[in-house]
Parts: sequence; C-alpha cells; structure tokens
Amino acid sequence: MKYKFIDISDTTIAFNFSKKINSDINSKIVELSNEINNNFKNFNIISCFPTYNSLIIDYDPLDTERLILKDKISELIKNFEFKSSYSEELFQVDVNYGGEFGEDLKSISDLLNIPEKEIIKIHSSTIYHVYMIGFSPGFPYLGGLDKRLVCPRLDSPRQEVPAGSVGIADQQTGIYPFKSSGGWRLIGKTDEKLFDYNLDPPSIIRPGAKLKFNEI
Amino acid sequence: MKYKIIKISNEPIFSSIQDEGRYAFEQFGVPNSGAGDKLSYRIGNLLLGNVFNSASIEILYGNTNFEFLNSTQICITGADMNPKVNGIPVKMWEIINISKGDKLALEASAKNLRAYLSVKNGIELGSTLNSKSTHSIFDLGGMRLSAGDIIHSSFINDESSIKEINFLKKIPNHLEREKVFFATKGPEFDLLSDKSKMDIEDKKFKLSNRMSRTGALIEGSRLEVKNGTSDIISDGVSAGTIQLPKDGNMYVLLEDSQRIGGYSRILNLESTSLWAFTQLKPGDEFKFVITTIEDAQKRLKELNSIFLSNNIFSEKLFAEKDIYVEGDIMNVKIFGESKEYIYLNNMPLKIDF
Repeated sequence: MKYKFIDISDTTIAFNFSKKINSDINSKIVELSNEINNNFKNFNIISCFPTYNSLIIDYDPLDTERLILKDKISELIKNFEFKSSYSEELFQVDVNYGGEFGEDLKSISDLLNIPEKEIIKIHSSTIYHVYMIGFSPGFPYLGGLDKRLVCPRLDSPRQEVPAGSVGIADQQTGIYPFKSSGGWRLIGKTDEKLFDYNLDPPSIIRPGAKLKFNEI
Repeated sequence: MKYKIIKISNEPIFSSIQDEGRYAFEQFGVPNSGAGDKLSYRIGNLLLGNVFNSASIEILYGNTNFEFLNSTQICITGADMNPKVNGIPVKMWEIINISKGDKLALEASAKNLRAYLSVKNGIELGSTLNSKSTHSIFDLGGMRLSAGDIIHSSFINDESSIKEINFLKKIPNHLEREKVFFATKGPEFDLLSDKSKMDIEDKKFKLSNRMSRTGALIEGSRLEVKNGTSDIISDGVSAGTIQLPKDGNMYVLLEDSQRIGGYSRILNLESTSLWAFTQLKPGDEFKFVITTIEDAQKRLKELNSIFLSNNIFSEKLFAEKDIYVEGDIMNVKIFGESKEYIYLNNMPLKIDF
C-alpha cells in the first residue's frame, strides 16, 4: 500500500493512503489501526484511530522517537497480511423518518424533486460502510449514500440537533448520538442508544463495520 | 478511601475537574479533554507529591470561592487569581497548609485564563473511559462544578510513599513571556497563498470572544488559499491544530475538540505553545513563529526537564559536579542508593548496568 507520511503535530503523525474516499482502502486502514491499538505497547504509542483515508497515531515524544515510530509503522504496513475479505458486522438501526423526526425531509424532497416516500425507500435500502467515528462521541460517518440523495449541507448549521437524529450531507449519512450543533440535513431519528461511556467499547458501532437503516 | 475536602461556595463561571485527559477512545469519537495548561496543572500536583495524572480543579476566569471541609495541603498554579485564605494573601506555585473550615477566595484574573487548584493526594472521582476529565459539551464523566458541590480527595495511609517537594527550583515562565507561539506547518500549509504564508509570521493576531475549551477563533488578517477552497476530506486533527474555514479566519482547536475535521490544517501549535495559548483571554494579542517538529520536540524535552530536575530530589543525591567539556559547562548529578541515576544537565543518561 502506498502512503504519505505526515506530521499533524509534535505528538501526532498520520499515514495518508489516498486522496479519494474508498471503502476497501478504509477497511485496510481500520485493520491496521486495530492491529496497532492491540499492540500499542510494542509500538510505544498512546493510541491510534482511522479516518476516511488516514491512520492517525498519537505518541509521546518524550518517550518515543518519531522516526523510529515511523519506521516501525512503515514496516508493519509493508509486511501486513490484510484479510482477503471482510466478514463485516452489520448494524441495523431503526429510524422514524420525516415529520417531527426529520425536519428537513420535506425540503430535501422539494430540492431533489423526489417524493419523501422514495427518499426513505432509497435511504433505508442501502448498506453503508462505517468509515470512521468522530464529530461527536459515537457519530458514524457512513459512506455509500445513493447518488440520487446527494445534497449540500445547510447554509447555516442548526444550533441544536436532537440526539438520535439521522442526517445527510454531500455523499454521506450519519447519526448524531448526542445533542449538538450540526449542519447536516435531518431526515429521521432513532431511539437507539449508540454511545454509553459505561460500556467498553463505549460506541455500539465500530469503524469498518456496515450499517443499514430500517424504517419503523 | 475518600473523604470530603472542598465545598464550592459560589457559582463558578466555568470550573471543572481535569486530569491528563481521556486517551485511546478516539476511534469511537471520544475527545481528549484534560487540563488545558498542562504545565501549570502538572506542577501543582508535582509540588504536592501527587502521582502523575492526579485530578485537579481547573478554574476559568476566577471569581470562585471554596470552603475546606477537612485539613489538607493545596497548591494553586496557572493564572494568578490573587488567592486569599481567610482573607490573608497566599502564594501561587507553593504548598499551602489548610485547616478544616478555611475559606479560599480567588479573584478574577487580570491576565491569563486558567488556574489549577490541586489538593494533596489528588481529587477523588470515579473514572469514566480511564479519565476523571470533564468535557465541556458532552457528558463523558468528570464533573463541572456548581455552587454547593462537594469534592472528595483520596486518603492514602502509606505516607512514606509520598515524595513532597516544597519549592520549585525554577518556576516556569510560560505565562510571563511575550505572547509568541511556535507552530509547525500543518498538512495543508502549502495551500496558502504566498502572501498569507508571510502574513502568519508578520502580522499580529487577536483572540476573539468566540472561545471555549473546544476551540478559539482568531480575529484579524484573513488568510487566503491558492485554489479558493479550503475544505478537505475530513481527516485527523489534534488539540493545537489551526484550521482555516472558508471565511479565512483561523480557528485553533483546543483540548475538548473532536479529533476529525474538514477544514484545511494550516498550522499546529507545538505542545508547549499550546499550553500557554490556552491561557489567553479574549482580546489578547499575539504572534506566531513557524517552527519544525524537531525543534518543537526539543523545546518540549527542555521544558520537561523542570519535572526531572525537581523529581530527582526524591532520590538520594550521591554526587554533583560541574565539568567542562570543550569549553561548555556540563552539570553531572548521580542519584540513588546504587548510584543508578545519572543526569547530565538535568536530563537522564541511560546506562545499562
């Protein structure tokens, strides 16, 4: 796998594998991230996490020489035996679409000129790839949104998006596990608790998994 | 074992329990949190002989009063809030003996934002996701303080295990020095126009009043990108990352920030500058100096020698001598029962015996 080595800060390095979003590359990054986290002591790092296209590694420069770490990770990437196929976990999330649950569904319908029912059908029949979790704790960035549903973010973000909201933006869809501000267009809401700090891991959904929405 | 130690007497503007931060859950979207000015926070606990990662109270802006429910020792570090115990001024950066019923008053800080109140043996609070830190937006554990809240401390039987340091050999000057912050180039630095690249080091910037523990908006010179768009495919960021949104105003991510961002990462404050930056108040002016990762890490190591040079007092000093090596003075200290610790210029020398 080809990559570019990047310093994000004096305590964080990154290995960037692609300029384009691709679920196969992301699956490999997730695999590497899991491998490194499982052996964080051997690599002498603090922790590691995947993004769409990069492997991000936090380290303590008082304890770990940056270039030695770079070599160790490069060596791992070079010799790593990636799985030939991924037996992905499939998470199913029940969603109430439209109306008070998805305030923007009607305006999206007008914008895209697709009936609300059709939008729901398309959104809930796709199997999405969980590229990464971020924005807020447990927020999955889901890729693979049907091209017909691609629409831009809101011009000005909402100050308050209710917890459980399901939104779409550009070619992505995602779920807000916490009440927060947010600029994605809201199409529905789930009652499922996606994040609980008393659980280990605290997020029900993991990077690299697959996810499907069910209309209820 | 834990016991009641502090009662919060009035409503703080924003005070919370913080430690080193919450790590290893970034893959599940968990921000790091933790003390903003890690240097001040660490020194408070170091002076009290507390173990690494002990929890302290982080007080933003000041104007906060405390009542002690038991006798203990405390240390106040960071922004000078003119601390008074029972109306009598007490010193910052030193151990203060406290009796049951004593009242501590902190005024609004004239300069700098954050003070740390550390107590003997650290603040006791259940950990969530391996940390006692408080996130300012998401409930991830920790504790944001309100009037009437009671804080606990741990009681440690084995007094001999506690190595207390009364005075710092050298008080850090990170809050006194001129407001110049070192930043490394971010992954998208080269997207900036040539003029904007120059502006970064030439211009003076000002902190806006849009500031929280998640991040701070910098006012002033609008920076420009060459191709007109500064958005990227969302990627890794960290506390200290300086993003450039569409409007061209730099936004500095701080300790409560998420670890993924979709704006260009043009700069990144080096660790030691980040800690000092978190002490800025809205309206404060400052300048940037662009540096390299190597130099940033060198400065971090130098600063860390404060801890080493103070920590080694806990070991028996066997010998100390200044020697001249090719015209330079080199300080040599040998510590430990078996003379196993050798320090050159207060940095440990690793030798396998």
